[in-house]
Amino acid sequence: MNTSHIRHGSLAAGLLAGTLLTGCAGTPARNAQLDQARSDYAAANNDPQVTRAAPEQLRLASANLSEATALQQQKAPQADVDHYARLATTQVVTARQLTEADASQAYVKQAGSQRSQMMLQASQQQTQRAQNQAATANARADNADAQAASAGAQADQAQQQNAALLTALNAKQTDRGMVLTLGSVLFDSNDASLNASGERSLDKLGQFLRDNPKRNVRVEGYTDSTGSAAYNRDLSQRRADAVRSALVDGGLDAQRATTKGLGQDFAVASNQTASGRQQNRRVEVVISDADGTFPATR
Amino acid sequence: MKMRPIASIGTAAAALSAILLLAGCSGQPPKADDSLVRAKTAIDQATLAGAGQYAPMDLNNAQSQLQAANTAQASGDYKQARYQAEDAEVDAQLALARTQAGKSAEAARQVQQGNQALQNQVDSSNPPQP
Repeated sequence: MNTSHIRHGSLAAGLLAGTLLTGCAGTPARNAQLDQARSDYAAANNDPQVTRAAPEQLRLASANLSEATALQQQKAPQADVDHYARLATTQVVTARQLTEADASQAYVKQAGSQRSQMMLQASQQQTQRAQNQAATANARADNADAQAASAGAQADQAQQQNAALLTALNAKQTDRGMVLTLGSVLFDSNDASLNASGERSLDKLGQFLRDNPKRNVRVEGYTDSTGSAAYNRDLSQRRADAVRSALVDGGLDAQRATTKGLGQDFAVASNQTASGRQQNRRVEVVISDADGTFPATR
Repeated sequence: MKMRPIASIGTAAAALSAILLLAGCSGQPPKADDSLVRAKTAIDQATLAGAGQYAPMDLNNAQSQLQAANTAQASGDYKQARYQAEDAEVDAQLALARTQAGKSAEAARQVQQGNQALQNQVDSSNPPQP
């Protein structure tokens, strides 16, 4: 605002003039413009929002009201009284506009801090959501890890058991798979049936096959070169069948074992010596891989 | 005259009472060019602030009254000139205040809309609890 006013001068002047000029008139008539101005001013002045937001305008209005009042008492021309009353009225309206501006600015300030609060809340929500997602993902990962570890442990355990059993069975790893050799001492001569030692050997194999239900066996019979090839094939087949029967009698599902008689082929020792011939008289039980397949076949 | 600073309040009181004494029941104030200057300044200030957009009627009133004040001054009617200049000045100040109120209200509306949008976003991420 670029106007200021005489605070005390006009009041003093009015009073002084009033006392000197009382001879001019009796009681002043009412001035509607002045009454309105007084009423407007009083209302604004009683409003704490207005007195806080626009004190300067209210002071200006008040001073103009005083001037108008003084002029009224002096029976000055009504146009003069009207003028100052109108100035006061306009200044009260200005005071109210300034109060509006003040209120809006206060709102903007308050809304600004509200906005900050909501931004904080929104970002906290985002963080919380991200944390929840991460926690869920972590839990799933942990679960998967646990399952994998458990499966791994089971696999290790199975492998250890197999290794132990295979050692106990005295089986050897070949390109055909694990091979358990049942020697000729387990058979009576020229006979296809297993003796007591042979049956004991098969007990361990039977246990292994019970513990590893996915494994299968191929039972292959062999002979030395004594006799004809046809005779030897037949003999070797009958020995292989005898071993298979013994396994099935021990509880093995018949579908898990096949037999083959290979006769005097695939000799493992020289047929010129007695001990060599003894070694060639044998049954080999080929044990499949853990999933039941055979890597190679004869 | 309630709108300009005066060096000595006592002098003013003496001057005014002397004038009223001499003039009888009506007053004849002196030439007051500065009221015209102050009115012009107030109108310029309001115009600069954007009163043409936010308070066109008040600004227009002020401008018309200043024009009339200048005319009265030129034809020697000094009291009329001063009164009209004073009217112009208070109207220009009203125009300025109304402009400030209008701009602040706009700012408040924008912030309120922004906050509402933000609140909606927060609410939509937080489904209501059953």
